[in-house]
Amino acid sequence: MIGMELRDKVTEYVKERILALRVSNPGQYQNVSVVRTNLMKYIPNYFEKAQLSKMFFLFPDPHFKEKNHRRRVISPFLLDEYAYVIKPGGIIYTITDVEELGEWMKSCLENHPMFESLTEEELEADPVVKLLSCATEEGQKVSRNGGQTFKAVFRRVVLKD
Amino acid sequence: MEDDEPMNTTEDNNREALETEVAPALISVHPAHHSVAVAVGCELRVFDLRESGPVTLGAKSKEVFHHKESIRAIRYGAKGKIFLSAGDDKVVKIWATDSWRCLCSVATEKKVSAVAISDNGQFVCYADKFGTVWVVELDEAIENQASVQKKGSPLLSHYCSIVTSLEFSPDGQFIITADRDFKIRVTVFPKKPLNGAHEIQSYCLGHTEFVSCLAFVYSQDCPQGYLVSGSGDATVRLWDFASGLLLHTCDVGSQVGNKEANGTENNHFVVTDLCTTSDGSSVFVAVQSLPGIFLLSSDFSAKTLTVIRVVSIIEEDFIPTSLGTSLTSDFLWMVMGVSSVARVRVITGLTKHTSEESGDNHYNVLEDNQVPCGEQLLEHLQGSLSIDKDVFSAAAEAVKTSMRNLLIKKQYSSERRELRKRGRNDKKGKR
Repeated sequence: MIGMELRDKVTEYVKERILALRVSNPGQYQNVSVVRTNLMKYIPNYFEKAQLSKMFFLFPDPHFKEKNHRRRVISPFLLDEYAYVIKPGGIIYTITDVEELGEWMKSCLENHPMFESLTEEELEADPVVKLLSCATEEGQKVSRNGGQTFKAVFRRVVLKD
Repeated sequence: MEDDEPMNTTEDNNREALETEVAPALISVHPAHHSVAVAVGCELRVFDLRESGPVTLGAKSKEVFHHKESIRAIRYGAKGKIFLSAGDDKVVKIWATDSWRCLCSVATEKKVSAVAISDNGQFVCYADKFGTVWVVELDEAIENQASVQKKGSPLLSHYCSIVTSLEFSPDGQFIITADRDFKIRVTVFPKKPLNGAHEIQSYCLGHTEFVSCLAFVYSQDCPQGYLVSGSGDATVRLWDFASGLLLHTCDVGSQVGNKEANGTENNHFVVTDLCTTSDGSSVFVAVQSLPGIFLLSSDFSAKTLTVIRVVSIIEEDFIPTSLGTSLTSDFLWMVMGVSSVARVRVITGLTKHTSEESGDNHYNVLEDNQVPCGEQLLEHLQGSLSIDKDVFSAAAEAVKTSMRNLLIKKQYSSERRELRKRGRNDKKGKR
């Protein structure tokens, strides 16, 4: 599992946390790391076609201004690239505490021909879905403040003609 | 390459902004050699090779059809029936090449950096400087309608990156886009492109600088062909584009050092344009700082590109900014210029080369009176017959600087970066 982050300071923080976990749990957390990069530009440089089984977008920057909407990490165009690196059957998980962004991400995924929504049963059965809101520090902060979260979980499907 | 210069003043910023406005001259040749078009600044000049006379664009109509700002992309397409021009005035103009009537104008949101047409002439694609590629559908009856306004639909996008080149694969199955972040993307061109091109076939990754130009080499035996790309890293690469595999890298930059070139810094041997012959055997390459062109030979079975020779044009320091050739003839047309100044030269005999490097010079750099339609053509396309040498060198320098400013990402020292961050006005509130 690899974290891809644009900001230097956040990357450093995550790196420190991972190293600390490896020290306190010897032999574990060897399959987790982080890299400082602009994923939105360079994703094909890191991954081959259909390499990934899951992608997580957790509390991304909302970019409220209309002119910055194209910089959102989930967009109709970037979904083409994520569809390229995720294998058919692979899953994208998104969560946010900003309602407008939640609506946006859901609608981008719904309108993209290479992603389809998971059913309610599938969401229930997937253990990861519950972790989205409580397993990260940002998620815990949101629930402490009594905020609402908005999830969109979609599966990568083969394009039908 | 980090600088410790003093902080950028507003003057510097303005000067840089002006420098990127400078557009290199472009040339495009009708596939059956019926006409030649040159774009110089905002002017489009076309010469009819069959009638041996200059073309007046949109002559029969009273409307003004000229571009108001620099033209950045021109090309013939749909087997020569259609001509496209687009650029900084945010309009793509679609012309009929028999009447030179402007069939259609497409208003774009951003300045256009590249254009392409599908082989059947049904779809026109254009790329803007924000990295988005748009598509417009042309219907069959367009030639009979009065001039139409159309709007493009988004096709695909390279995130926040200028798309420098746009090409359809020879069989029309794929659309290839190249950007300034060293990437080339191969996308399936769908049956209904107005709904977007979502299925990415592959990426051709390998260049270490911006990709400036794309072309294809294909033949009867190899109809799908290979992709050829030129870049700011001074290489020309050969790709199996369906898989994204890099087949061969031809380092033209290192070759320039051996020939008569006047560039001293190694980042000046940027490949500015590529042109291929219709039988897929040769690739012509224009390189910044080289007065002349490279002739590369492509070998389909070995999957390689090799430099056969350099054709130098030293007597007037002619460094082409754009190349063009038709499908049928063996004339290589070249133009050098910027803003209002242009110089056209022609080379023949290049396709008759043999593969031995030491063979006779079959090629011939034509004198002005030997060029098809002679001096009349040159006078129309260049604006005048003789160009001042100093104006020329200044023009060459301006083009080099503007390309560098546009396409090469600036490296700032950490102090300047911090200062620039402080000046931002889109900060998020404290989380």
